[in-house]
Amino acid sequence: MTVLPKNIIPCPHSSFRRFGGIIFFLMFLFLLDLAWGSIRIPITDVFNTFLGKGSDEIYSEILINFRLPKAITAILAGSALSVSGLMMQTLFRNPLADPYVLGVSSGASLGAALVMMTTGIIAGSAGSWIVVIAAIAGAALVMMLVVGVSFKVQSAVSLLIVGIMFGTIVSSIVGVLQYFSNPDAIKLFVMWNLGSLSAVTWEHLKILTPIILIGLILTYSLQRRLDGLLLGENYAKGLGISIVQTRIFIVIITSLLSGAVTAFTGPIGFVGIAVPHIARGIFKTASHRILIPASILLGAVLILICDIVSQILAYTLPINTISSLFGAPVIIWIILKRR
Amino acid sequence: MILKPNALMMSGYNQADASAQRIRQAGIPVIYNNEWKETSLLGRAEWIKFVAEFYDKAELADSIFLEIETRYNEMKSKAMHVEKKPGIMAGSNFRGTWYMPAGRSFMSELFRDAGGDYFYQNDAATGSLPLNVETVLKNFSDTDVWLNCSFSTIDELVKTDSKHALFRPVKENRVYNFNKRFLPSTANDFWESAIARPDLLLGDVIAILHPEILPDWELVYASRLSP
Repeated sequence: MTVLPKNIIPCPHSSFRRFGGIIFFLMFLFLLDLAWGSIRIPITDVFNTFLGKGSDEIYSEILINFRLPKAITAILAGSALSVSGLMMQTLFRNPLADPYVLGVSSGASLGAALVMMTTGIIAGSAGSWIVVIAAIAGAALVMMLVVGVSFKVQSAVSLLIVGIMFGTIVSSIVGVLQYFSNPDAIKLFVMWNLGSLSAVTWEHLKILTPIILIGLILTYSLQRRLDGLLLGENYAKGLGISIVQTRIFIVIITSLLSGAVTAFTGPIGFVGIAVPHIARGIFKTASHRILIPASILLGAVLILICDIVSQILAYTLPINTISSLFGAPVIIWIILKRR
Repeated sequence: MILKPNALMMSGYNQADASAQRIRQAGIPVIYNNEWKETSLLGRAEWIKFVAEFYDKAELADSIFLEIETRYNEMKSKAMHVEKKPGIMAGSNFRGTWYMPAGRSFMSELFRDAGGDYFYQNDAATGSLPLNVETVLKNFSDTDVWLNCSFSTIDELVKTDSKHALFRPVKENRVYNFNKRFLPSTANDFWESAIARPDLLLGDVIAILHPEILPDWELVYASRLSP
């Protein structure tokens, strides 16, 4: 049994109460996201549809094939990105690290950009899968490069810099593609880049859900190693934690989570940076045993709130801009607090 | 510059364009064509007179445009006096956003002049409206005709998004695209010659909405989606 300093071990009772509160809030937001949208569906119709007694075909279609997969995607994306952000912040001991810092999301963008802007294949059911597969391939490519570099590199800071550089290279290639494309293709790629939860259909969810669940479970299994990393690399080695191995696990799982989400929804910013800090603020602990589930729940909460806000008008607001509007004030608060 | 043209004609998006300046410095005059700023279909087509001036063919351009204008207005007056105006929808769902033409856009003008009823025809914006799929389902599910759908077959349309099947035009097979003159390289003549021939475009839409007015019309740019 390893001995960890006191401020890492949290007080159990208040944590349970807080978790309970957040879980209730999450369920409430989930129902709200289903009930609210651009058109008003009466609450009785909402309940009837989910109890199988729905009468209006349009309402049923909207609730079951539009709002429900969107709400589930919101929860999956929110949890995956927050937990990835948490791992990145722990690995690099940097409060401003986000899930995209290793360039994985840029890799996904490159895959999507290549498909959309060179071949013009976007319409058609096959089209959306081609974009997803290309995005996953792009993310996987960058991930493998970063993992390869992690073997060679000594400090975490070097890995961070290399990751950012990979991201920059890939983004530049995307820029070149945009320069040579016709306006229609560019418009579609820009729309992809703004992120969209409603792009994910039930078919997509069949693939996305298991990937995210596996990623989240694997993350939780790393919690002791993550705590060890927080103590500093020498202490961690003393506890028997292999730094290189841990780094590689973290890179792979983060790439899996953030790459998968980005491939299906497009990039969604700021959730990854902001939520771990909100979790630390609420639970007042640095223990990953608490922070991982907390980030999962709070990430889902935040994205659900963003989704509800973005769907209130007749016009859809892109999720990426809404999440940034929420996340940026949090970052400012962090900076001010650190003084 | 290697081509050594007599002049360069470009769109006047940015009058202080650096590359245009360089062309001018090489002694090649730059002509700004602002037809894209016109707010009406006929207005856009009238720019043929502008281009004709550079080739000393002003009279020819005048007569061509007069023909186009007369034909357009003739068809328009016939179509606008019909009693029953079919409802129209346009565009399709892309990742949760459905772009519909705004009230003062070219598409909306086309629908109105062809004797159609378009839900957003009184909207004051030009360009497109980025609508939520839910709003589109609510306002357009019971409409009559679906124009400017960018797919080629109904099967593809429904496979991309099952919600597309909920619209009455899909159930009644009255969905049309503007891809009749479309090359495999993804070049579409709708974006090229249709600008100069609004009369053909109007004829297409009238033939779709009110076949009794133009019984012998052969569609030029529009084609019905095959099942």
